[in-house]
Amino acid sequence: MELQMDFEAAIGRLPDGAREVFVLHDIEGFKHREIAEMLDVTDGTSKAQLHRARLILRQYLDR
Amino acid sequence: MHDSWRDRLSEYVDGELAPRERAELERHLGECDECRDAVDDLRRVVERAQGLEDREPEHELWSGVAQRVGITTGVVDLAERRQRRKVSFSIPQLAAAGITLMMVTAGAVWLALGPGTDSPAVAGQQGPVVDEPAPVFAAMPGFDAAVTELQRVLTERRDVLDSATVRVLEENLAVIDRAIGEARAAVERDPANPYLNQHLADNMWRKVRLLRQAAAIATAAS
Repeated sequence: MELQMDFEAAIGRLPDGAREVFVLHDIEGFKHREIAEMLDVTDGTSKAQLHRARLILRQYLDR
Repeated sequence: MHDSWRDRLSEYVDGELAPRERAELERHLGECDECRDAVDDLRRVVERAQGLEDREPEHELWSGVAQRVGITTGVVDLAERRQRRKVSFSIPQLAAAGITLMMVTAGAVWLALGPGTDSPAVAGQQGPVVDEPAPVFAAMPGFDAAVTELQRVLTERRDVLDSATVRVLEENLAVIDRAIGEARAAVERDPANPYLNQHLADNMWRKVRLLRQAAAIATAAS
């Protein structure tokens, strides 16, 4: 439970753009095209922010 | 780790690479332990994220929401919420509202108070800036009444909102309230600044719009 809380806390500490894209894509299941439209960014930006978020969060996985 | 592939690993995990790129990356993965480990981790991050939506909301978090919208009873049973599973579609809309607000607020205050004061329309995005600043409360006569009414609707239908929606709502209300507070402080420092007055009015209306959207979602789902 504590590890999960750490992971969730890490989501909250992500940079704004990366956090929002991560939540929309990986938690809510929206596609990059939809996220790009909602946030007024390009698909490429959405993909880059998602990858950035995941690389940060991998540090908070339980081993 | 091979840098050119490192940036594409999430696309690979999500199945978004073209067949040829996918084949090339898989060949690379056969020879690169670091990228292979990264792919495994990225998949675990995705799995973990997908498991988050069903978690029980923290009591303190719910208390924050409850206090803000005037709710005094406890949380809805998790199993019941899972069974209903009805308003999660609203989250990106609410989240997007918060994101837009944060970006607009940061840029707007900087433009209004900093060296870019000559370009208010760039950050305002809400129509023309008035020449003569109207007193804030005269410009927003229905604000308090609208907020009160919308919060009453939300309170009545609180149990149809799932935990994820409540979390996003809480976050966005906090952002908006912070923005309103900053805008009020800015207006107090420079009451004659028409742009700051407009900015404050914009943020107050954003709160009304968010509450209206949340109330509409709760009403539709009930």
